[in-house]
Amino acid sequence: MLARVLSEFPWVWPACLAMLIFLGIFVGVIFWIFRRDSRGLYETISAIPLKEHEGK
Amino acid sequence: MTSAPEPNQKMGLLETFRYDDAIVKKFVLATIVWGFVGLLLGVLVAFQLADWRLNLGLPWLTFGRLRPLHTNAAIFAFAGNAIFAGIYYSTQRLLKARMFCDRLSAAHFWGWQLIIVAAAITLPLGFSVSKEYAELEWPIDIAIAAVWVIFAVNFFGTILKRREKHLYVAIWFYIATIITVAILHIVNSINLPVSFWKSYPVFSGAQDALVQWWYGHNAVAFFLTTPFLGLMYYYLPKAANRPVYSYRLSIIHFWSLVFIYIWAGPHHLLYTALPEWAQTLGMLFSVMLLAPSWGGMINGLLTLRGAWDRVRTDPILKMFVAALTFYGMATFEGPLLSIKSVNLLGHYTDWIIGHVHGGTLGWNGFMSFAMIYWLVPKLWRTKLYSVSLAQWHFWTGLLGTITYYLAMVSSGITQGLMLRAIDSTGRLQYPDFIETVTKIVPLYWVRAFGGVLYLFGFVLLIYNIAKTIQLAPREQSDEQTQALPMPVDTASGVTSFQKFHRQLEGLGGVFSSLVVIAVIVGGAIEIIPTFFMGGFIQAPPEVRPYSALQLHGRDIYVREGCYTCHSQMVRPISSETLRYGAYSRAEESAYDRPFQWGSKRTGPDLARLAGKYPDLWHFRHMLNPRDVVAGSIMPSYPWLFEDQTDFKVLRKKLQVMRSLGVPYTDEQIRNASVDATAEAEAIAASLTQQGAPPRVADKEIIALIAYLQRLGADFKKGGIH
Repeated sequence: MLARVLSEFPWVWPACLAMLIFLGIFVGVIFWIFRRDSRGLYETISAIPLKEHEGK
Repeated sequence: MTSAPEPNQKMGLLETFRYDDAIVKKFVLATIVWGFVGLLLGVLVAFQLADWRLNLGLPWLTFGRLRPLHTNAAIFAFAGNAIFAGIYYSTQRLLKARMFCDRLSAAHFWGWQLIIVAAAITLPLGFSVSKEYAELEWPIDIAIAAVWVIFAVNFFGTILKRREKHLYVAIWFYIATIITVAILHIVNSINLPVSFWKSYPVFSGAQDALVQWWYGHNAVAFFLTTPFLGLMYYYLPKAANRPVYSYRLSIIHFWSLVFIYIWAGPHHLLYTALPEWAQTLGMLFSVMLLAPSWGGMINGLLTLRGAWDRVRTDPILKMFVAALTFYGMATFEGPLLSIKSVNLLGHYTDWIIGHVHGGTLGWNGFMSFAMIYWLVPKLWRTKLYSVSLAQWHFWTGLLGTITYYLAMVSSGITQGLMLRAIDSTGRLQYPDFIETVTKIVPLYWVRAFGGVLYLFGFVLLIYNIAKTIQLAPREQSDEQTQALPMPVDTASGVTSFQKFHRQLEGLGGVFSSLVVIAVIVGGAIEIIPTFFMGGFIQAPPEVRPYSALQLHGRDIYVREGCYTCHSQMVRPISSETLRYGAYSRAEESAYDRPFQWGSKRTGPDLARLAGKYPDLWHFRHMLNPRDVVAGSIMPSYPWLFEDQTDFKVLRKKLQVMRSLGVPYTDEQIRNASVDATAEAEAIAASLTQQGAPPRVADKEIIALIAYLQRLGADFKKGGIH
């Protein structure tokens, strides 16, 4: 039964679903990274590789 | 669990500890050793394609067996050890902690080297499941899974004991690599053993093809791309001494790449018998990949803002720039080749080989070289022996890569155009496949020369690094450092939203879960429907399972790596149906474990081979291809005329196949050896009548002929409509 349902499923929908999921994630990430007061945080994090010996 | 001596002498709030640099040194040296082996094998197989005599008539030196060894050595031995060296060094420093457990580090290192040695022994001996970049047999697959789990426990354990709250973006890429490679490897390696060195995959035909290329493409994505991007985000800022251009862009880069990459596998199967929706999905997401890939490349190149003057004199920065440029080229060309109309021309040709090597030699190679030149003086506390030699390495490597790439793209487009050329009368302009091969052989020599140049550059690296280590002080100890323990966020003025973000970003477990979800969503939508394919890709009654002898012949075909040069998939386009016959249907592969659709046509497609030539033609062809096809570059297979077929094992093979769903009867299984012997004697008798030597029924060549004469036979009998 399940195999029959799946065999007759219009499989154009996975592509559309995938696009929508990705679009949602992409827009979400854009909003996330440009949230207020995030600039300082990202500057701090991006400097981590250059501050390995800060404790010395 | 921490077995490492980590003297946490608290001096106020500061903790003093040592990084485990010994393990990084081991991985660096292994990278250099296996890099030489992998490149040497690449040069050898390149010359074998230019001149078939270099196969030397020896089974373990023939192209079909060495090519998988070359790809495995280059990807998992060279690039793998480079990744581990880079990750072990940078992870400790980015997390301000020694690796979780020294014993796990050692088990990871020695386990991985043993796996490489096992591959180096078994692949030339012909123990292969023939799934590209996953050829190793089941005992080694289990070992890979075990070593990978050791690596994962060690890595995530280090995250747990870290002193740096924020997980820098490089760590994100490492997490994605570790999780996704584990999922890919396990799913694609589910096989049922026949013996210690022989197994059949649980997937068959179109299912097997989709799972394999879901794995195969993402082996490129999550073994040759995401870990190297992580390395780029750490080592490039270090070498340029400035932070990454845009950390925000790196976040977009990461999530877009991780989410999109997992969907793109079906672009390896365009115009095949894979369902159309899966092909469309693969093409769509492959084109979309261009954006995050170029986002990463631009982020890397712009990190050098204000430091471009140093690129002129610093070979390490030169190599980083070249690596990123090749990354940009390959990630432009990849989406281009995924467009169906372009893929129609490029697929199965050397263009794909050129594309892959642009990425591996240019991106992975130069990234690894830059990292080694940067790491070795720091690890051994000395200076690089010769900057000038490193400059020479850069230029010879660059020239070698460009030479290789241009030769292969020219060869691929030339052959692709010739193969699909149809004249004004509607006939093929080049009906003999060999015409298209002899045309491009000169370019195979150019390719081999490019490989020699690249190898020469690597030899310069070996000499330079050896001399650098010689210069190092005899007494070496792990680097000692100090860091504050993990900070607790109690500062006033921090909003609850900011706290939430910092917690989320600091929680390795939550972050890893999000990566798993991103990967599984993509994998599930593509893979799960294929599990139900049996409902609509069932073999009609006319498609019979292989006879015991044919199945054994098929295993010989797999063992010899015939799939490295021959496809079994006629695409639904006029030039191919004119050349080979009716296009391939998914039902035809229903019993194929593993599938043999192939990815490259150095020789012609074999899907419709049955009955095209008499048995004697195949007999002579395998003994010396030049006897029947003038100008052929195929190796000779004299050992097939000496080695005997093991009829006793056939019963077990049929039993395993039946447990996987192939409808063999009890009688067929019981009589497997007897039936196979009778079939072999009939073929041998017919051959002897035609002039072949007598008493060859028990030779492997007979089983192989039985298989070759079966390819497409069901279709020709009208079994497929």
